[in-house]
This record gives sequence, structure tokens and C-alpha cells, in this order.
Amino acid sequence: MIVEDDKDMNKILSEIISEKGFSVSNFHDGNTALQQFKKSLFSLVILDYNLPNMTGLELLESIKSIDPAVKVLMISAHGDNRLKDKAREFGVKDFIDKPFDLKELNILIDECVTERNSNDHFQN
Amino acid sequence: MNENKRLKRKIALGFIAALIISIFISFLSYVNLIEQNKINREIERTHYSTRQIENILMTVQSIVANQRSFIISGNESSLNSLNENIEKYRREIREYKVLVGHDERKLLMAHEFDILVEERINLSNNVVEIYHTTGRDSAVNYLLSINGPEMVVLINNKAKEIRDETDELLMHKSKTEKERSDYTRLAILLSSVLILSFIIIALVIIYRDINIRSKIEDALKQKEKLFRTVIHNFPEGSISVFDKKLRYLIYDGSAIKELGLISDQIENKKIKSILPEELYSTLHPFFIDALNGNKNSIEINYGDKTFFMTFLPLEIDRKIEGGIVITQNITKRKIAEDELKNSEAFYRAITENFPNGTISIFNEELKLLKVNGMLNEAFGYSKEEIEGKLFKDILPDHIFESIKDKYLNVFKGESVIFDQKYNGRHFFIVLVPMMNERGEILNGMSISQDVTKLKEYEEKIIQSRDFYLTLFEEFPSMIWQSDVTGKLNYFNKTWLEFTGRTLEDELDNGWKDIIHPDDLYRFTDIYGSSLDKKTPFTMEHRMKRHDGNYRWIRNHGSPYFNMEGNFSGFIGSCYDITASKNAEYKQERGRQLTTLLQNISTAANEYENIEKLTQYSIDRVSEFMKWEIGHLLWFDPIANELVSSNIWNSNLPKKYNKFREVTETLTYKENQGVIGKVLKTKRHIWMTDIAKDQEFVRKNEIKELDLKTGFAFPIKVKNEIVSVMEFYTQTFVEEDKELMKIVDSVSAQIGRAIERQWAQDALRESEEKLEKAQMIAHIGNWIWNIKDNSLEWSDELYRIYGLDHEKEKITFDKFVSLLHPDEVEPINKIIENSLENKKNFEFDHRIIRSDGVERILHGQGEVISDEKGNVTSIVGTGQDITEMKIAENKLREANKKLQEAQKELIQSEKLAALGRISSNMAHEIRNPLANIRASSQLLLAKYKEDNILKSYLDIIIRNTETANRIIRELLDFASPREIKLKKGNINKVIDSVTKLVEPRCQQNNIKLMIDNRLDKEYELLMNEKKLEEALLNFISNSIEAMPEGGSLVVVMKYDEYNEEVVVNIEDTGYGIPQENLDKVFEPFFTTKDHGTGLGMGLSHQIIKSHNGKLNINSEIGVGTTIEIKFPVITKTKSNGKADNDS
Repeated sequence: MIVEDDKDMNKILSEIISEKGFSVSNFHDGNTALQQFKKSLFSLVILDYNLPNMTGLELLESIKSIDPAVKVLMISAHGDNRLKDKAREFGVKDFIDKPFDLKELNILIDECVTERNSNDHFQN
Repeated sequence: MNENKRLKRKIALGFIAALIISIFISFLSYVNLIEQNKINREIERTHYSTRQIENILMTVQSIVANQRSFIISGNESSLNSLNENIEKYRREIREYKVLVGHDERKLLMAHEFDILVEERINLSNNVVEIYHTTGRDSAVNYLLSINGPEMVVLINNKAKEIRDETDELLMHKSKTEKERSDYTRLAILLSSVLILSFIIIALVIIYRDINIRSKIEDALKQKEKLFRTVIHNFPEGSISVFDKKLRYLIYDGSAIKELGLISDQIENKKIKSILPEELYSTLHPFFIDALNGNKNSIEINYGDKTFFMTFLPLEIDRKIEGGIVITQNITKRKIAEDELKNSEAFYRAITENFPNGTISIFNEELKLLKVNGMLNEAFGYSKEEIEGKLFKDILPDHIFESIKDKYLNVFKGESVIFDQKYNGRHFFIVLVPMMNERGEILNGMSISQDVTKLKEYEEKIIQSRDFYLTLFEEFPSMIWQSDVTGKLNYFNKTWLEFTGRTLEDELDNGWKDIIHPDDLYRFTDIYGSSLDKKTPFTMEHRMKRHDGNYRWIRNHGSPYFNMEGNFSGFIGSCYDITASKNAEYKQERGRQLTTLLQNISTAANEYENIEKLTQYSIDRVSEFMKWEIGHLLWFDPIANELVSSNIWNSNLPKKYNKFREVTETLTYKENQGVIGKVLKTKRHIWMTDIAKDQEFVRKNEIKELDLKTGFAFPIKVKNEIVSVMEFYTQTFVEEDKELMKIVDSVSAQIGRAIERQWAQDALRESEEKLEKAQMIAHIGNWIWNIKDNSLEWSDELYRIYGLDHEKEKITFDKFVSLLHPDEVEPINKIIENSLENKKNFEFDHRIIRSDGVERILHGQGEVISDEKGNVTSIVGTGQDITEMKIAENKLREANKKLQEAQKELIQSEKLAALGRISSNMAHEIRNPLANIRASSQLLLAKYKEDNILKSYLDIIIRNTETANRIIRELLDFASPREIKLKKGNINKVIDSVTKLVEPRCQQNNIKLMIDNRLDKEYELLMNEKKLEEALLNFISNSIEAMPEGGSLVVVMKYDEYNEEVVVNIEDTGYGIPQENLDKVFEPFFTTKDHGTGLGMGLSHQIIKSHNGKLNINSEIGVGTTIEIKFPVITKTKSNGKADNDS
């Protein structure tokens, strides 16, 4: 699941994820994303901090309350440490500052996927 | 005059007649009297002769008796007596005969009587003879024989006859005499009555004559007085009246002095003796001509002036009794002519629209040259039909004949006014000659006006005209007349010419329309009270001229009285005095302005209260201007606006109360209204039409009150506005430049007063402060006697020096010993200098009190000399100012800190704002940056083999990184994150930094040296990473300042006094210009091509967050030293363990 109001970034992120062979759902605002999240199961959520309707933090909190196991990567242009601390409290996997290095992002995504898989495995 | 002579003649003739009659009567009486005397004498004689006869008769009887006694007695004595008596008789009868000699009848009777007596005597004589001859008997016989007694009877009878004759005569005589005397008495009585009655008549006549004459003279004198008043004020000329003998009777007028004459010396003198010979011979024919009943004029040059003289005959009782000469100074005629030209257009308009009549121009042939006006209505001809025609051909014969001469007279220079009936209408026709500049008559002008309606008025006026009015009509100045009630009922030609109005316009108070509205009330007031008191008045007022301009008029009105001496009204004369009035007005206004300024200047010097002074000034200016509103506003320098005061013109009419209320609730910024413009320009502003000003704050109010013009001026102290005064009025008024000049001075005066007041307030305040300070501060005084070198101190001074007055007496040496060692020398010098030059002194110095405490004192000394000028003593004060000094220093320091804090506050405020902006901006920029970078990396991954593409994508990626770094720095700078400090070692930081820059220094040929002068390691509170960043930044800048190489020295040392570690970074680079030194820490200040201008600021912030201090010293071409001071928290022991750890 990609939640990003910036359409360009949304497209880039989709590209990266799809190239890895995962299916991608794109959302541009928090509400729609949350509604969808309630309906379907997602392994990884990449979300932007700045979103219409609600902030990325609020969305993070909601998502985590629904599915505490979901892996979430948060992207932000703010780079504010307090924000990052808060996000970590809510259980974010990691925090990426815009503009980010693609390699860094790839690594993080890979980490998330691996962890998720191992969890699944563990659960299974 | 003739009347008088005739009267005299009559009286004289009467007297002569009366005299002749009385002389005649007296003569008759005299003749009568002589006759009467004669008769009386005759009567007397007759009486006498009668008595004589009686006597003679007695004598005869005596003779008879004597003869008888002789006969009887024979006595001889009887005989003697007889003889004596005979003798006596004969004498008596002789006398009687002489007595009556002239009366033949009496004489005859006397003769007859005498014959009888003689016979008787003869008889007696015969008897005696007989007696003697024949004796007694014979004699007796004889006697008896003769008829003796018969003879005696005869004699007696004869005597009686004579006596009767005399009585008869006497009777007749006395009767005649009585009649005569009766006649005489009657004649005397008659003549007396005659004379007396004549005298009475004469007296009555004389009395009556004198009575009438005096009345006439009085009336004449009144007229003359009036006339004289009029002519005395005759402007630019003179008027004289002369009699038939060419003597001046009256000579007066304003120009008389110009002729070098004095009125009193001329009057009643021969013209010939007054005028210069040459002038007299020139003018003589004109005088004579006037006496011949002709009007004439001449232009003469006298001195440097030109006079126009008009000679008029003076008619009294239709007889020419003299002449009038009107002399006008026409030197200024040019001006008048110019004015005339100006009014030509006006005249043209009038002639074209001339109401109820016609204006025409005709020549000497009596041909109509030009015709204007409403001709058709009047004559039934059109303009074209009669222009160029002869009067003869247009007018009916009888009318032409009756008016022909009048028209021709115009060419003799006469103005003719007459009435003419034509076609059943009444025309008032005025014929005037049209002259050129030289007074030559060119054509005649006829002004005909249909006055059928006006006729009534006209007749009334004609009735009231007399000689003077005729004169007034011709008079070259404006004349008016009123009736007993004061109503103006006559205006002369000159008046109507001046006003350009008709008589009808002026009557029935119509003249009030042309008096200036501002003057009308004054005029009616003055005229009204003059009318009540019947006294003359002179006033100056403005009156509208025919061209619509108001002219200044001097109007002189005098009451006049009729022959009976009863008040009949006023006669007034007016002169246009605008020219002199303008000058006078200016002068007067100038005087008033000066008074205004003087008053305010005086007030400015005298008034202690600014409010009172400004109130006074506003009142004076309002009063001077006669403007309704005057008001003062104060300037509020903080809000930079004007605030209303409650100082208004104290005579502010009630209707302005609302304006006042509104004004006082508002404030006024620059440019808002007149006052706002004053505030802006700092100069006085005059606005003739304030309604035009769009920025006028009180627009509605001024519209409501119909305020038109306003002006305001600033009051300045040291060229800064403190107050503005504003004035408004309901009429349009042009800028009064004179006033504005004065207003500037007024402003300066008030400004000075305010400044003075402020200074006084400040002085008073400081005096009060001083007094208080002296009370609080301990000031002691001293006297040093030079002679015996003794020193006296007050208790206070002992206390200041920490000495016990009771125990120790001060001496000069003791005093010196108490001085701070450094002060001894300077104080000695001060004292020496003071003694030498007898100069007072003042100085601050330190002392060491007896208890060892150092204090600072302020000393003052005054040199006292004796009569010879030798210094005897020095007196002075000493004040402990230690506390003051300390406080002062503390204050100075606090001030400095405050200033710094303020500076920082401003800086941080700026930064806060910048932070807010930049964090928003950073987010906005980072989003696209992320897109660019991610996209580029995706591309790069896809096209790994394409080297060219790869190199460009690398550039894009690198630049997004750079952009992101700038954003980060900006964010760091603008909203610095709190730096966490922990104990650390500066040496370590320096080491890592120098290692980082070493390669760059080598690259740039820079010699890098670390000069560590620290005796030991000092612990500082620091954030190593941040501190490294900051130091790196400074060193990088230094390297960049030395592109050609140089040396870079990092010095570390310890400041024991301030307990600080000091790091100096010294380079030999370009140096920073002095003007940029303050700016290097400002954000975005950079001199580098690719710098963000944030580095230095950021580094400074880092240093500050370490509680460090940063100083930059730089010299162009020499280099820059950055000095960083860090406070040391603990002095670490040589073993490296910190004190505060324990």
C-alpha cells in the first residue's frame, strides 16, 4: 500500500515496488487508504507524513491499531526529529527523509519484506 | 448790495426831507416870533404911553391944584410948584409926543391935548399975573369969569380919548399876537410829529432790513460753509469763486498747496495780485468770458503739473455776479484714461442694451451718424432707416425747430439736458459733446430715455434744485442730498456716472445695494447717529463702481439748514480714494500686523503658561483676521499625528460647538487636511477652498458649517513640530502673504516660548534633583587658610575620610597622607595652579580611608583673595561619589547588556520568522527534489550501460543533494535544534578538524600550524560534532581567503582572569572590510560565488550555544583573526580529574 498525495512520488514508489514483484495499491489520502486497509490485508505500507484529511502519524496509529504486524515506512520532507520519535513510538519500521537515496529505500523495503515473511513463517 | 444802497438812499432822502420841512417850520416860527416881539414891544409902548398920559394928566391936575392953592393961599411955594409942574408937563408931553411920534393919530390927539393944556396953563399964568398985579380978588374974579373946570373936563376927556384909543390898539394887538403864537405852536407840533414819525418809520425799516439781512447772511454762511467743506475736500484740484471786480471770494481745494498758495491769504484779494503775471494774462480772458456768461475751459501747465481749468459764470438772481473756476490736476489723467479704456467694453454693453431709449451720435450738420438702442419702439424707425439722415428730415418741423439750438450748443462744449414730448411719450434727453484727448469736440452724443414713468420723480427733483444743486450737478465729485428724515433723494451726475446707475435705481434706499455689505452696517450706523445729532460726519467705505469693482470712497456729509434755519437734511460729497486707501490700507494693515506680532511677542516673553500664551495667540490672530474658528493642536511624536487641544478661539460662536466636539475626538495624520499638510511640510499652509481637499478629515462638518478658507501654521521647537494652529472662515479669502510672513514670526515666538518653558521645566527638575541629591549625598566642606596652613573640615568630611573628629584634628599633611598615592602628585599640581592663577578648581580623586577602604571623592575649591588680591584661603567641598561611580558603572554595564540583549532579541525574532518560513518552504522544495532524485535513480538503474546518460543523471542527483543540504542548513540556522552539551576536550576537536583540512591546506599551499599554549587540559561543555562543524566552517573560510597560499595558525590559550579557553584562528588572507565586519553573521550575507551566506551565522550560533564569545578582527591585505572564547567549567588538575566530580 502506498499512501502519497504527490502523484509523481506515488508513481515512482509504485514502480519500485512492482519491479520487486509485489502488487501495489495506490492511495492519495489517509481516509480512503484507511477504509481500504480495513478491508484488505497489506504486507507493507509506505506513507507520506503530509496527507490530506489526516496526518501520516494519525494514519500510522490507526493502521497499527488494526494490524500491529504490518510493516510501515514513513517518508517526510520535514526531517523533524520529534516527528520521527513519535512515529517510532507508533511502531514505524523506519523513517525516510525526502529526497532519499533509492538504494536506501530499496534496502529498507527489502528488510521489511524479509521481516514480514519471517513473521508469517513464524506465525505459520 | 444794491438793496442795501437803495435802502440807504431811501433812508437818507427821508432824513433830508424831514430836515427841510423842519427847517422851514422853524423859519416860519422864527419870523412869527420876531413879529410877535414887535407887537409885544408895541403893546408895551402903548402901555407905557397910556401910563405916560396918566402921568401927564396927573401933572396937569397938579398944575390946576397948584394954581388953585396959590390963589387961595397966595403961597409963593405953590407958585413954584405950579411952575415946576408946568415945566414937568411940557417935558412929559414932549416925551409923549416922541413916544407916539410914529402914530400920527396919537400925535394929533396929543397935540390937541397939549393945546388944551397950554390954554389952561395960559389961564393959570394969567391968573397969577392978575394976582400979582391986581391982587387976589381980581384973580379970583377972573378965575370965576373963565370956565376953568370946563377946560379941565375937556382935558380929561381928551386924555380919556387918548387912553381909549390906546386900549383899543392894545386889544387888537394882543389879539393878533395870540393868534400868531397859536399857529407857531401848531407848526412846531406838526413838524415834531412829522420828524418823529419819520424817525420811527426809518427805524422800523432799518430794523426790518437788518433782521432779514442777518437771516440771509446766516443762510448764505451755512451754504458757504457747506460749499466750502465740499470744495475743501475737492481732490486733485481747487475751486475758486470770484466776483465781478475779479477778486477771489473763495479759493480752496486740495491742490491749492501745489500752487503754493494759502487759502486765507487769497480770499478777498484781487486775482491779479495773486496769480503770476504771465499766468494772469493767459487766464484773464477766461475770467472775463465767465463774467460775460460763458462757460470755458483751458489746460495749463504750471510747474511740473498740468491743470485743467473750467470757468463758469456765477449767477445770482439771474444776474452774473461773478464766476467759478474749477481747477483740476490732470497730471494723473493718463491713469484715468486707462481706466476709461477698461470700462469701454462695459459702456458698449450699456449702449447696446440701453433700456427704454436710444443712444445716438450726430455731427455738426445735425446728421445722425450712429444709432443704438431700442430705437424702433421710441421713434418708429429702424436703425438702417435713420442712420446717416439729417434730423431735419426725420423730425416734424416744429420739433426740429425747438430742439435745433440745443443740439448745436453741444458743439460749443455744453452738455444739454432737456425734456421732450414726442409721439405722446416723454423723453429725457441728454446731449453731451464727445471730445478727443485735446478737448476738441468731434461729435455729439444724444442719450434719449423714455421717462414717461419717471416724470414724477423728475419733477420732484427739479423742484428741489437751487443754485447749489446746479453747481453740484456740474461738480466733478459725487454729491448726494437727503431730506429731513435722512432719506437720500438726490444724486448728482458724477455719482450716477460713477455707479453707472439711474436716479431711479438709487432712490428709495436703492443706493444701499452698491455700498459694500461689510460697510453698510457701519455706514447706516454712523449716518444714523449723525442724522440724530445733526452733525457732520466723514467716513470711508467701499462702493461698487459701474464696472463692478468696489472702490474706497471718502464720504463727507454735512447737515444743511434752510433760510429759516431749520434742518433740512444732509448734503454729502464723495471722493474716490481707492489709490490712497490702498496704500493707507496696506500701511494700516501693516501697522496692525506689527501690533499683532508685538502683542504676541510680548505675551511670549511674559506668559509663563504655554496654554495661556497659545490661547492668547489664537485669540489675537482670530480677532485680527475676524475669522470664526481658531484652534490649537498638539503633536504626538510617538503616533506621529496631531491631537486636538481644548484651546479654541475664546469667542467661538455657539454654532461651531459640534465642529469643536468632532474635532476634539479625532486625530490627524500627515497630509490629512490643512493641518496634516502643515505636519508634512512643516510650513504654514493656506487653503482658499478647503472643500476641494479630498483628504480633509472633517469633510461633513465643514460642509455643514459652510467653511470656505483655512490656514494653519506649525509651532516648532528646534525645527520639530510641537503644535499646529488652525483657522477657518466662511468666506473665500485669498492667501494673505503679509500675514503669512507675520505668522511665521508668531510661530517662531511661540516656539521660542515653548522651548524656554521646557528648558525652565528641565532646569527646575534638575535643580530639585540636585537638592535631593545633596540631601542624600554626603557632602562635606572645608576651609584651608593659606597663612597658617590650617585646615578646617566639616563633620561630614571627617566621616567621609573615616576619621574621628573628637580624637584627631585634621592637618594638611594628614590630608595628603590619606590620598591615594597616585593622586598626590596631580592634586598638588591642581592646588599650585589654583594659587598661582587664582582659579577655582574641580576634580575627582581617590582616597584611602583610615580603615583602608578606597573611596572616590569629588572635590571643589574656590579661591578667596583679600583686597590686595592676595590669596588668603581656599574653600571647597568634598563629596563621596564612590557609590555613584559604582552605580554609574553598573548602569553602563547593564545598559550595554541590555543593548546586546536587544540586538540578539531582534536577531532571534528575525530568525524565528525565518524559521517558520523556511520549514514550510523546505517541505515544499523537498517533495519535488525527492521526485527528481528518485526518478533519476530509477533511470540510472534502467540504463546502466549508457555512460553519457549516467553522467548527466549523476549531475542531477548530486545537485538535488546540494539543494537539500542548503535547505538543511537553512533549517538548522533558522530553527536551531537544541544542542546537547556534554563535557569534552577542545584539543580533541581541534585535532580532528585540522586533520580534516590538512589535505586542502597542502593543496592550496597554506602552512597550517597549531599553537597550543594551554598549560593543561581544560574541560568544556560541548557538542563535539557541532563544535567541529563550526570550527571547520571558520577554517574553511580562512582557507578560501588565501587562494594564493599563506599561513593559518590556530592558537589555543587560557585567560586566567576570565577563566576562559581562547581559540584564535589567524589567517593571512584578504581580510574583511570594516563595513562588512558586523554583517558576516547575518544570514544570506556572502561574498562568495557559491556560498549560501548561512555558514558563519550557523557557526556563530553553535559557539553561542556553547556559551562562547566570538570576535573577528580583520585588516584588509593583512589577514583575519577569529577569536573564540569558551568558559571553562572546571580547572582540571594535571591528573585530568575534574574538581566538580567530587
